[in-house]
Amino acid sequence: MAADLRGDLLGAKAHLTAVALWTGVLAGPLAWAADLTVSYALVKWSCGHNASGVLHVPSLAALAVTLGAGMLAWSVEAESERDRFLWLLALAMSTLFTIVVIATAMPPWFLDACR
Amino acid sequence: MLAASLLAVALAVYGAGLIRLWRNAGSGQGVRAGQAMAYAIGWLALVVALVSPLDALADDLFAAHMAQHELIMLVAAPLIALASPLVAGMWALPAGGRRRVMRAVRGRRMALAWSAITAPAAVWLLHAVTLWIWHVPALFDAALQSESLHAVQHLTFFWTAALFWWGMAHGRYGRAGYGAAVVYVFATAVHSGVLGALLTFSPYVWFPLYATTTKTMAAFGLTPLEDQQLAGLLMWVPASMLFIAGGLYFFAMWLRESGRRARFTQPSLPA
Repeated sequence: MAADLRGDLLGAKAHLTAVALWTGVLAGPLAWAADLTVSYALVKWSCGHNASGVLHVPSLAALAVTLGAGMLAWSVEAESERDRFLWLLALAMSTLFTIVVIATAMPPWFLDACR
Repeated sequence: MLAASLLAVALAVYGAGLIRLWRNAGSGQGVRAGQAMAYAIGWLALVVALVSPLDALADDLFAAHMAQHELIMLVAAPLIALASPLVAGMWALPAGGRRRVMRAVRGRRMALAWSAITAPAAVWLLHAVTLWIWHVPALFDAALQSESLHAVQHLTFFWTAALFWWGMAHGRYGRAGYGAAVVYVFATAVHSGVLGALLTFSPYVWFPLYATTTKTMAAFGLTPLEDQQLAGLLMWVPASMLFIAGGLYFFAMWLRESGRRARFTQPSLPA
């Protein structure tokens, strides 16, 4: 029974590792795409309601997601060669998309979205 | 006039340094022949951008002004940054002056400051903020009205871009290797592409002065809005292509570097 329990725990741990690593790989591009879509849709509304600050909200949320996903992947201890590759990919993806989200968030800092 | 004299000085200093260096160390030593060639091409790009009819045309046509800025930031700045301008500049000094400068910059504090200024994240942010701030309509228009502010605009464009490409090329000594350059060059393609796209699709003329030079524009068959769309497209498509080419180059260097490291740490791997 102890062996069974140990096997289950190991299986659960492997599952968690896989989830954390794939989150690291996929969350960045998904958050960026969502940020772009929502920001674009918000422009007209924010001009009508005189609330340009709202344009920063989706970008900040996306930034939180990319950073969180990166930290989640970072905390994983990869044990197999495959996991190590995914770990590296997850870190590279979340770093890239953290910077890309910042790059995409620049327009409302400098320009008036309603012009 | 200012641009022409600065360019003349820049060529004289680099040339004098190169001659002295190669006389002392042998041709192609310290600064490679390809780097000297890169400097020459980058310098010519600056001449075309700043001391040619393009500069006069840029007063009336936003698209010409954009072409000028892209030449400065995307052709001249990377070529000159990669041409070891500091080594050549150093050798332009006599031996005594060279030693004094070396002593002054060798200190720990200088080294720390230099690596902070040229860190990939820092040069990326500096270049991005400079690019965006100058496209705020009030500032861009002010630069068009004042010759000296215009010079400041071109100088900051050139220096932040040169520092950016310098940081990218030298980022390989950092922990992420060339990976940092890959990320930051692509991210620059993203934000400058966004700025280009915003200009292209805007239903308004951003810079009031370019709504008044309709005579020159008409000679090219453009309305002010079409001129702005052309400028936006220049920043969006050709500029992004150059950034992507640069990013791919750094990506290839990254792969090559990691292959070299793997062979170094695991000699059993096939070469």
